[in-house]
Amino acid sequence: MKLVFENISKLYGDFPALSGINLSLENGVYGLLGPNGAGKTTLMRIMTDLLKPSTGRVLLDGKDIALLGADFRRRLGYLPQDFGFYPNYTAEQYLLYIARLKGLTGFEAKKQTGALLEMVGLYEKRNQKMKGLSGGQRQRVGIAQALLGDPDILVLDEPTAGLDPEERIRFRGIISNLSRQKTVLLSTHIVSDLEAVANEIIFLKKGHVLTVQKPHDLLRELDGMVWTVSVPSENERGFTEKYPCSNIMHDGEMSVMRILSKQKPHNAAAPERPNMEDLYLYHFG
Amino acid sequence: MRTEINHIVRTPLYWLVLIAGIGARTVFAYLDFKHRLDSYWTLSDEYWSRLGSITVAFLILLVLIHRFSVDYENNTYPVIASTAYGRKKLYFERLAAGCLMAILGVVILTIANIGITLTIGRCFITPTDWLYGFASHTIVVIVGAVGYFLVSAFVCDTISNHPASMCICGLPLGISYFINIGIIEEFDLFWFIRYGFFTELLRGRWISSLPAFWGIWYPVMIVGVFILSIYRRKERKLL
Repeated sequence: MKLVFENISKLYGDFPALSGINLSLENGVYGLLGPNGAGKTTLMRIMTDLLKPSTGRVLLDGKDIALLGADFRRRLGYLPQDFGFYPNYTAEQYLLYIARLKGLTGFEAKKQTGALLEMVGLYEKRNQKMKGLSGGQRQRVGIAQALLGDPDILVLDEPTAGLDPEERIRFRGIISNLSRQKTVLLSTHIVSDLEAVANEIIFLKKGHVLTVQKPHDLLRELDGMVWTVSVPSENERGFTEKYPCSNIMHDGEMSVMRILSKQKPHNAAAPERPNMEDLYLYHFG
Repeated sequence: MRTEINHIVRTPLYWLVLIAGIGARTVFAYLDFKHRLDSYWTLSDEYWSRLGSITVAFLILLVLIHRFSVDYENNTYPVIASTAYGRKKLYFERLAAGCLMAILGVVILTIANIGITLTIGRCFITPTDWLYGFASHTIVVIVGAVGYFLVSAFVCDTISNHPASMCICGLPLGISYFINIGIIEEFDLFWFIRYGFFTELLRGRWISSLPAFWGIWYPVMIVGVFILSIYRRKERKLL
């Protein structure tokens, strides 16, 4: 299965939200990383045929998804950024409703709903109304509905927003298990989630794709560029104004900073292994 | 479609509107029996003329058309529209379910009116000519209810705003109740408002003033608003 973005652009009036996006996605997990306003949600909406691109098209195995219509959507699972729900539906009722809209029979809908609620740890809450669930619990229902019908293509926009660390680890496990036979596009600001599950990361900035690479290849680019420096707090500002700084910790009268620099920034600076946050800062800071 | 019908059946407001309408009818029937016994059956036959038509209108505007804006209000439309059947099929299922439930509402009100009239009037059967007259009015009301629902649903779907749709569709209907047909002239604005927005049909009466004109106007209005709804759906990639 191959999903191809062919010269995708999207204009909102005169504002170019996306420009000349060319991507090819196959099975695996693709992380979509970029600052607010980079065009991540716009790209995802175009990919799910919810938004018409100004130019270009998205092809699934060579066929335009806009023309495939329901045949494409049958293979799609989507979790939008602001996941909406019917407040008076219970979690189970909501999933059953979505399952029927996805074309599942009554029996299959019931079976998959139960299994997915179990998977996301909400089986005991299945009869609770959506409005009575916490934000994280509703998000888990959102993840469950995206997985209904065992879709080949999963588009998840900020799926771990509102989830606690345990739930995020559970989610990573779910995605890792599913990724072998599916194409998963995952957008998040929690870069550690991508580091754990993504096969490739797509960097998006101001509507353009900066790069598409494997996480360890991207991190290798930063080898020798990440340093830990410990200085008196009154000298902190001098460093933060001069170098991108991914973390500052205050330890008594000292400031311990994690900075990016091609050269050793200070005699006492110690080299560190780069992580995804350093990578994010390097490209978007 | 069964899912959509189930949703409406499980909506408490649907039954609340019907119960309120039936409750009001009971009170009026009692007062008619007590103070206007001579015209008791005539007043019962004219049920659709005021209370019945208002109840049906509330049912349509408050409950049935809400399904067409609920996905925007709850921000569920991205999820719904990304499913295989969440666009065209769901749209037509909701229209069909709404039509059926509008008809069911009319049938329930009909049965209730007959039951209340018999009970309060302390009778076992209705006069034959009364039943025939009331049944023929009810058929007109069903036609009007379906037409009014369709137009209101198309409007609600087009603008995706339930309160605004209630105002747009409810205002001409509401104003028409205050228009005296004895003093309006053909092709007058008030003549148009009185006859042009399903009021007469919801009141159980075929339009007597230039029926040929309305025979063209109503299909044109329904089709026109439908096309607008389809056009907006295509723009929003919901079809």
